[in-house]
Amino acid sequence: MTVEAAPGPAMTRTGPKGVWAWVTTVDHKRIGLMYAVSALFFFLTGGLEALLIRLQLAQANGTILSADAYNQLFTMHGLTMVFLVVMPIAAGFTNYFLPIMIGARDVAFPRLNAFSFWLFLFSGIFLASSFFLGGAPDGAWTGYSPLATQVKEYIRMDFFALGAQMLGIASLAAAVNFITTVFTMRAPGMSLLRMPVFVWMALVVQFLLLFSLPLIGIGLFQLYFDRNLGTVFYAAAAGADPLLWQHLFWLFGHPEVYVLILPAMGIVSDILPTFSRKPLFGYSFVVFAGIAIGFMGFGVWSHHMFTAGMGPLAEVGFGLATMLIAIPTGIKVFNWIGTMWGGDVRFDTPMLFSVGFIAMFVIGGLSGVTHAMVPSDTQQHDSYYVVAHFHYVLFGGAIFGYVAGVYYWFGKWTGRMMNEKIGKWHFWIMLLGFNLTFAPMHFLGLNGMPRRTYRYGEGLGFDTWNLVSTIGAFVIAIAVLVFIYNLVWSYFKGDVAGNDPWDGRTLEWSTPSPTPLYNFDVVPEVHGLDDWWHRKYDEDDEGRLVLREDQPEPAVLLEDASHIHLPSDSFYPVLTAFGIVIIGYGLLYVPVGFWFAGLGALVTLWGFFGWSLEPVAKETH
Amino acid sequence: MLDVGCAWRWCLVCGVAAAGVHGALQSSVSIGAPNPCVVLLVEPYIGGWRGGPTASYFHGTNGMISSKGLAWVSCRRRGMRVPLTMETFRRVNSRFHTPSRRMHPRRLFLFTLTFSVLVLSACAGNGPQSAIEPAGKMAENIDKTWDLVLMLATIVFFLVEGALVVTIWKFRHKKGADDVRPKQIHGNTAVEIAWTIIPALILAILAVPNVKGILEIRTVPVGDDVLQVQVIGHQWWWEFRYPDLVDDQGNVLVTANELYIPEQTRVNLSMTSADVIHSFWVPKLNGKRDLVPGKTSNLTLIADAAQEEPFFGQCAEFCGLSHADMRIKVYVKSVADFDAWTAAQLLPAQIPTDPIAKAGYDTFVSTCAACHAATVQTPNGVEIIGKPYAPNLTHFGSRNTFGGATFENTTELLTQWIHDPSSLKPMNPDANIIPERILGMPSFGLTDAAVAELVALLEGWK
Repeated sequence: MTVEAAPGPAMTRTGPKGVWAWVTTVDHKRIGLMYAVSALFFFLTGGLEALLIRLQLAQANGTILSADAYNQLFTMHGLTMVFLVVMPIAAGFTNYFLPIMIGARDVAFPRLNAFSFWLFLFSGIFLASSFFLGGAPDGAWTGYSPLATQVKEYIRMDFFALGAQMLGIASLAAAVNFITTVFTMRAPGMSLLRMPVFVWMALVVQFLLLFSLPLIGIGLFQLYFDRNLGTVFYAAAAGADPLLWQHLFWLFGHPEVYVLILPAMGIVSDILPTFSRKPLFGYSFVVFAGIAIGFMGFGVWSHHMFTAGMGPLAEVGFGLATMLIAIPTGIKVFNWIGTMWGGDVRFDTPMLFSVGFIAMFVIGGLSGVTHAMVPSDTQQHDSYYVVAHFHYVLFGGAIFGYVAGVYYWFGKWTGRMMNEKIGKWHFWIMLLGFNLTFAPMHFLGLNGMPRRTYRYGEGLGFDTWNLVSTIGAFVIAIAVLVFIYNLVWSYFKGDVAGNDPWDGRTLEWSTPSPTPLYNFDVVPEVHGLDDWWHRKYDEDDEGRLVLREDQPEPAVLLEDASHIHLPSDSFYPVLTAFGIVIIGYGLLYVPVGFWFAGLGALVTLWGFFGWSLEPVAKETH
Repeated sequence: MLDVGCAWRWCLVCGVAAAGVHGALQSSVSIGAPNPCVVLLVEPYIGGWRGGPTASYFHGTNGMISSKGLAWVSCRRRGMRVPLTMETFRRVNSRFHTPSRRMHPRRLFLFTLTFSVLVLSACAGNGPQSAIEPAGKMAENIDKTWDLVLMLATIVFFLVEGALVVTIWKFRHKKGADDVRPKQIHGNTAVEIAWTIIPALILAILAVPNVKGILEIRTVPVGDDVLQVQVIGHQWWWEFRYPDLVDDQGNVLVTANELYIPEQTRVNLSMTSADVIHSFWVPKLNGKRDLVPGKTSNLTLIADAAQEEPFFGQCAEFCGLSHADMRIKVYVKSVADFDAWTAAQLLPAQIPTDPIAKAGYDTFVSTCAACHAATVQTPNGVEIIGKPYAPNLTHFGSRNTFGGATFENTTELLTQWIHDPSSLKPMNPDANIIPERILGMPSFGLTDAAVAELVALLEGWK
């Protein structure tokens, strides 16, 4: 029944070659791939930080790390995994597939897109470079004031304030870009409710970013001003309320949680129907549940502050609101199970990771409900129980979902399939390691172990489970090595993917693999949800699948695509991003660095002017 | 290193899980429409927590059921005196067994309760800092909300993960079955409404104790019988002041890191911070509460009974370098013992007559008093000597621990501490360059003799 992959060598990537072509590219697919590769690189550094943390905690009174090193490592682990791994891998998928899935040839603002990527990459390097410039941020990824403003002599928390700010600018630009793309560049017939769930979830994410990033932006500026310019936004001694920071941070921080998880939910919502050979159960419910999560995500931020002293009324309100968010989340899970029910479920690796996602996410969701019980949360807050909870959501959830996406779409990216056998090993080792690492943290938290502690004493009953957790962390490390081996092996030796290896449903599978620079030789006309699927299959009177007699012609690579107008490459986005990161380095060293920052501002201005005056597209024919 | 008791308890968990799966397979699981479990769970709340959700239901069933629920739950506390065997499990189950093709809801309820409590008791919850082994009224109230949400979450866990497993098993692609043509179902509005409303109902069950619990833990106790304690968080130690316990000169009782409270007495902690945000957490007595500079927060402690061993706790809000070593010990005393402790603590320290300790006293006045204070009987009367930036040393010798309740108060450790405090506890005294920003005790480069003199002084100040 499945459409067989075309035999023969993998097709090569179209478009100009060489490093300079990648640096100046404005192609959404190349930018997406660069996001993904950068995210993988940062995943390795964040993972290494995690391994050091786990080694230190393997037994009571660990001596592998100093308290100072530990505090830097756990802070950077959090910042790296949130801002430099999960957000960019989601951005990678969004970049590559959002335009293709809605039948577009690129995003609305291709150069702005390149700018977002380069600013993200430079800011990531900026943050990582702190290790070599006097120490990394050491005030936790939440950067609570007044701790973050207490010691102004070290620039560590300035790295945090400036690095997160620049990453925010990058994401904000991307948010504007994707929202415009979805609303203006859909193919004919691609109505909003015919968009794949992944596109929907990515769209919700962009709105979350658009509204939440300015809040943290303000907070980070205030933090920077307090630290360097003598303002007192968070200085309790001057009458300020230190809780202001917490409100601003979590007003961003909680929507951010959905920024991290929703794209993974979208990916899973597209993978499950493909491998069950059934449409998504309750498409509109899944979409609207996602939108509801987005809205509610702005109304629950204070559940991160149940012990901060907001007063019982606020605690009641935020406790109940937090419980409510379980309802749309539950709807999604039930619909996923409903999708598989009655299907012909094939367990290729993308599907294994998707089912793993559901199974692990349910655990994280349920422990989330236990946090919504405010009295109970006063015990769990800031304990290892919370660490377990959010790793079940963001690792067992988000990361499993994104890995599923990598296995699913690797063929589309490279023209070759990931190795299934190694993939299955990867899944089972990862699942084992993940649960070995994070399940014990529930017990540690309930047993009274607070998070962010570089050591614990003997006799508290923390020893056994910490050791198990450390062993689990190394099992995860093995799984990650297997994954990387699979990526490299498959890139060179994987089976040729062909256009549509999984018998997919969405438009990207109608294009050659790897997708040519122009995406579609003819912009598709869309007649319904899962349009590509319905070009291949019909339903008979009983509603069962039948293969259509008029199968679509497989798309082939055009020999001459010069009649298709595409935006030209540009050097100015990377230049502008570079100027901004120079400003960042300059602002670290007040006041002499201001000169350096001024230089950065000049470079940025050069970038902006060049960008504005550059012709939009070269005439190529 | 691996604790044997722990492994043993895990065997039990696996046994019970196996029994549950066995039972589920024998009689296919399905939940009847109005689930009696739900009624059972709600009832104790309406009844105002008379012994928690399980006691009212299981009370009086052949002595196997204790106040916390099942026999083996209490076994954990009593050191496994009642062995849990499959036989016991069957006996308990058989009491609720009805010859039905369905798994009886009560049985399902019992199973999930047993399983969830056993998993947690298997290794969580038996430490001195456990949040689910309460020993005070506030922590007990919190534990009841936890028990309820844990039980409901466990039921939902089994239902959802069970549905997932059944689905992927039942509808997996079978080898060779290439002509399977699944029916293209696009959705079902009735089902969608059902699985929107059912979780909402479960959450409604949780909402009542949630709101009730919030109001309970946030009520500041008032009355003459309430012991008032001021808690001030410092990087990285705790200052405890008893504003109502004063000596003849009106000096307030001040101590550090080790909190003494009388049993069965309402204690109101009024808490604030001298520097950054901290969080006071002694899990067996209450949940945590933040100490925010410039604000006062409240936490109530009502300990059940006096005990020799202290209750353990520690700072729960990341507060910088030595956050991990900002620990708390709470000593719960009988009222008489507490009064005796109070009387002793209110006495001033004496200037030693022994020449070695006297030399130590001179060093204290010239060096330590820049940050530490002590209430001393001087020839001019009772005087407070020193500054309150660091722990009050008046009765240092009576404390069991020092350095944020992290180190045993022994001659050896105290000597090492005075020589070089950062060798024991990571601190950043080099940053003490801004007034009132104290980030730890520096090393003063004292000679061995001077250190020994100080140790003699401090050990003598009982």
